[in-house]
Amino acid sequence: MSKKIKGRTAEILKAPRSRRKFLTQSAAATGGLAGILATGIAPAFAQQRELKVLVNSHFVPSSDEELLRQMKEFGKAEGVKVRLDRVAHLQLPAVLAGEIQGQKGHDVVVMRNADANLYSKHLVSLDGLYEKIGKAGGGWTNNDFGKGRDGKQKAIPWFFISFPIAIRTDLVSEIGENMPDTWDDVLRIGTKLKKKGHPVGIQLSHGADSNWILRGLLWSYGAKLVEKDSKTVAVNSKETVEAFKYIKALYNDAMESEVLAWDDRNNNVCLASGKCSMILNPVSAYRSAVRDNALIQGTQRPVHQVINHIMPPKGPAGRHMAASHQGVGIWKFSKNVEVGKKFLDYHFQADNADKHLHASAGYNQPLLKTHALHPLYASNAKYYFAPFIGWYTHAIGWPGVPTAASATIYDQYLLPDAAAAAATGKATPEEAVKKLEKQMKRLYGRFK
Amino acid sequence: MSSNEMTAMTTSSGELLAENKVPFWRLRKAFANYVALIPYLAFALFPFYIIFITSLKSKQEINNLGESPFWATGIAVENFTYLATNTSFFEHWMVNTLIVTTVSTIISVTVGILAAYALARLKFRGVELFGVAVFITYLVPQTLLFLPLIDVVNAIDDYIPIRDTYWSLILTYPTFLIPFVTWLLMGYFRTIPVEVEECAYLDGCSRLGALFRVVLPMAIPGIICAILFSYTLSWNEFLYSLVFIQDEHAKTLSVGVFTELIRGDIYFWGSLMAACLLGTLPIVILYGFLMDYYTSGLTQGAIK
Repeated sequence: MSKKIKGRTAEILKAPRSRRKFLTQSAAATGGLAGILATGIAPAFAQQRELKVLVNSHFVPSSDEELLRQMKEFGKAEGVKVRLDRVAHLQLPAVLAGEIQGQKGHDVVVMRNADANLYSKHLVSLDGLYEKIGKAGGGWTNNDFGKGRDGKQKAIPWFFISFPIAIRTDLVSEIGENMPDTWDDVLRIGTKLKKKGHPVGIQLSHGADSNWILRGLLWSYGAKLVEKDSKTVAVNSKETVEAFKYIKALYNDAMESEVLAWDDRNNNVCLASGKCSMILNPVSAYRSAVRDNALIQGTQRPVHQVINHIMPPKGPAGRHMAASHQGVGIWKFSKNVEVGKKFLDYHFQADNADKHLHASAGYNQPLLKTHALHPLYASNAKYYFAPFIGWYTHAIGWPGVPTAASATIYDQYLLPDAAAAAATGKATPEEAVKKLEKQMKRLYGRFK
Repeated sequence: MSSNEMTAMTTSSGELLAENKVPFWRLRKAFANYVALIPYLAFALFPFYIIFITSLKSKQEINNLGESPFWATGIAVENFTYLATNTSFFEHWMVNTLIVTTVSTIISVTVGILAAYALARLKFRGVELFGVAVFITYLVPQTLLFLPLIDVVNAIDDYIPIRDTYWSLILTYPTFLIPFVTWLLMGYFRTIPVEVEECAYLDGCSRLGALFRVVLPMAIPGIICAILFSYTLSWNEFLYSLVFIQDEHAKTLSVGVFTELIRGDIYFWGSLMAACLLGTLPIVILYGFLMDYYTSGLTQGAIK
């Protein structure tokens, strides 16, 4: 007795067939089957659920390894496959743009600086999770980061990468000075040390470091790029002019012209080689000097032994510094939104967050208050600055929140270009500030 | 006649030597030619030299700004060891790149030959326009093309899983290779006399028969030139590989090296140079074997 066929299959079988349609469908089926056999991967509808996470390659490889370990642990408990993908940080925008264009890709994605605002409409709201994690972690140290344009939390703050001064303590002792505490100290000590062949190394170029440090310097002088409303351009002020005058003096007296052409690694090399007396940089410069066992020129002494980190300098308006902030968001087009939320909830649990911080060797500075005074930072004198630097650290866009407009100003290196023009005398500080204001107003106008 | 020449001619054993002796003016000319080449060679080979030297340096030596960047004080293999032990350079990236490059080159050159022959030989309405259109397609930059191509790859991926596999590259690389190959071979096919083909027709060949038995053997230098170019373009491609593949094991060389060896503001400079050196070797070997075809293909295709 023949088995009765019901449902969609019956409909398909009953439907009249033209020869062309039959051939088309046969070709598609053959092609599909061939594709599946060739690639060795089952079609999407037949696959097990898979949680895909995208991050940028971490400076400390063990940080990525720990994240993957946690993902696997989570996947095993939840019965989902997991995959961690990494791209170089400079290529991340291209990959994110591609995923948005195709509305397909990863589920959980890293959101840096103003990305959550820029991609706001493509990200799910994480308000509930943000509150839950924050409450469990004693609150967030920065409540501006990760906000979408609609005011909702579109990324869970993950960690920040701070910019202390990495300084050669031996050289400062040799000239009978104490560690610099203000920007004026940096200029005075830097001038003396440059004469001894050890200049200060702060990029005035198209590099992320330059963007961060110059923002911090401006804020320390009481200047700001935008008002607290994150919309009104406020760069043209006497404070900014004063800050630019300081940059000019620092460039002429304490630095060398090579800083105009540096990328983000050059200041690390300058310090590790024993040439630079001080730079402003995350602990990566110190850590790589340890890893490479870099020696002071002409000696067998490892340079890392005489490097220490101290707080970024104070200015007339106090101590302020910018930092790279990293968060994690979930795409709206993800088919695993709930699984993604569950994973983030799992990853931010105290024990897991602690392990992740440990694995990064302290590079991932926490934005949760309970982790700010982590024992790891007390284990090495080089990290004593770490628990406190968050008090003075802001995301781009400060005193407002990071926005798409502030990210554009950042991406186009408008501030480093203006500072370099003032430093090299191509423009007076007043002219450089005016030009910067004009450029900023034009770009902010686009986002109104 | 000089006394030297007279002496050479009078001795029986020296007779042959005198006849084969290269004239001084020729030696002087050769010397001048080679001397003139030195600046060009220095300019062209300097990057490879720096890559080679840096790949042999230890981390300490690379960091030491007091050392000359142009010499290595010793030979350190640590950069190559790091590639082999801490990355998927040999295990996956090199293999993936070889597969993608070879298959997309075969597809592109095959389709390109047929398209170029049609555009060079067949007479149909709009043939010139079509030829120009092919060229214009090649001029559209990849940075614009990758966004619509994502939609295409995603649409296919819904039925056949090609994203995050090298199949997505095998499918998309021909979009920039075929127009290039077609344009290159169009020029080359036009240099082959039609009369040769007509003789083949008289001898009973069909059009396809004439193409395969007469035209293609005559176009070997041009085809090899097209293969070399396609191979190089595919080998060096970065953007599509970055956007379509994030799976660690499916990456190609260009993206894999970038992901693993540049981490924030830390560049694994020695290993990067080692990867660059090893990554260029297959292309260098290929060019080494096929250089003669390559140059004749370029020059013959250049004029009609």
